[in-house]
Amino acid sequence: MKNRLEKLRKDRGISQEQLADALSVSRQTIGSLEKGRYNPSIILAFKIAHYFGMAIEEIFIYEEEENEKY
Amino acid sequence: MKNIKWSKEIFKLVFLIIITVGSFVLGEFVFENRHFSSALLGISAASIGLLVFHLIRIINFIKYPSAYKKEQINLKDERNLMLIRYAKSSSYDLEIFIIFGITIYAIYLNNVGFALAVFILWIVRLSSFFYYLSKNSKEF
Repeated sequence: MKNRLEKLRKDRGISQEQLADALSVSRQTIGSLEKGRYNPSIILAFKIAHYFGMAIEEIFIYEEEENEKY
Repeated sequence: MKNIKWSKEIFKLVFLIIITVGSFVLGEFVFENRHFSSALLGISAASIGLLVFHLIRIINFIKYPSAYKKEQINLKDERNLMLIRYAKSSSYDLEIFIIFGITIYAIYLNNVGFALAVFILWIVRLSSFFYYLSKNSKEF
């Protein structure tokens, strides 16, 4: 699953640390999310969407082919 | 800013002081020269280490209250919890092979007490595994 988290965060001029504090997660979690190494829980995805005032699917992009492997 | 739960931190501190002093007194004066007195002194020494670590932690929280918030976030962070769960699961898989090796060694030694202890370990591990599997399948 891809996401636009890094772009959205940079567009708003906030650091990973600030975003992590706002979402009550570690800075490493934000780093992993941005690199696409970690897929968030549905609760964290909602929190992120709520923080940016967007819908989940506007931030996280589900890729059918990648997920069909599992 | 998340308030520091002082009662919890002080309880841990008092508990460590009791363990340190208690095991030292028992090892040095009560069970002097018995085979487990050195083990009690060892526990006391390890507790001193934990006590110093905990004291440094508390001083750090007083100096920098944000450190407490950060620690709480790290403890509840979903990625950290996932990493811990994966690490536990992998170490369980590895331990199974090690216990299997110990079982063969116990049979080779022909030591009934040792073999029985390993057998109990197998029973506990397998039954706890199936217990949590069943419990989790009901929960999730």
